[in-house]
Amino acid sequence: MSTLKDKYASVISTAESVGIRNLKVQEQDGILYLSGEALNTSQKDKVWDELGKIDATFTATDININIQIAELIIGSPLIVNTESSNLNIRQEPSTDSAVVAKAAKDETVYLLEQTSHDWWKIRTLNGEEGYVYTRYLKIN
Amino acid sequence: MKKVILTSTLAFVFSLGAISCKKEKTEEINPSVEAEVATNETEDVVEVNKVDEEIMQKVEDAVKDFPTVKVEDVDGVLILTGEVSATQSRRIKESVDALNIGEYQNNLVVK
Repeated sequence: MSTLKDKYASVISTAESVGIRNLKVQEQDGILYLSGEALNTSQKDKVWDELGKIDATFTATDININIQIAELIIGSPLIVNTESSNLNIRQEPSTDSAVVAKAAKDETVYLLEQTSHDWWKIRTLNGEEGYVYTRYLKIN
Repeated sequence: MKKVILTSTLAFVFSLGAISCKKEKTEEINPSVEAEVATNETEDVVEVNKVDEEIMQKVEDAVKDFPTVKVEDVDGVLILTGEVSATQSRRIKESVDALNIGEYQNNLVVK
């Protein structure tokens, strides 16, 4: 077993035990790459929580965790997961694009399209549509 | 006998001339080869010492919501600096890791 796999053994075993799909663990150029798909945010969070036990400041660069939420059904409810502020809903999938609406923290919005890893198209209960940064969405 | 000595002396002188000519030729070739190598090295260095623009843009987008965080390109190495909370640091790493950018330096200071 390599040193990095040793160092992050608990992160790898957590990813396995919570059922991350298509889990890939690969070491390259001094970085341990761990990737796969989670069914919800809680699965993904458990892996990151485990990393927090080893690297409390989340600044390690010898591990790269790329766990994405698996394909969801259109219309799936998503919870706005900002720290406190409103979430910008934008016209296009870019932070340079105009803000067309805002969603409050803990508000439920609905999935229209998983456009990319970073951006999803959503609709609010009021019928406002646009793109939001996926980092601020929680899937139960 | 004199003739033989003269001939061999001449042969010796000629061969010396031939060697020195050869030497000159070699010296003539070498500088241009060195120049070529040097040019290539310079080009390589320029390429290596710059972070890909697309990567810079993506990382800048990922940290846009954290005004205390700076993304820098120092001699081709992408460096994150600034003060953040542990929660913010985690969100930043989640976003940056999702970009699969490979090696970078995370110099964020967690308060």
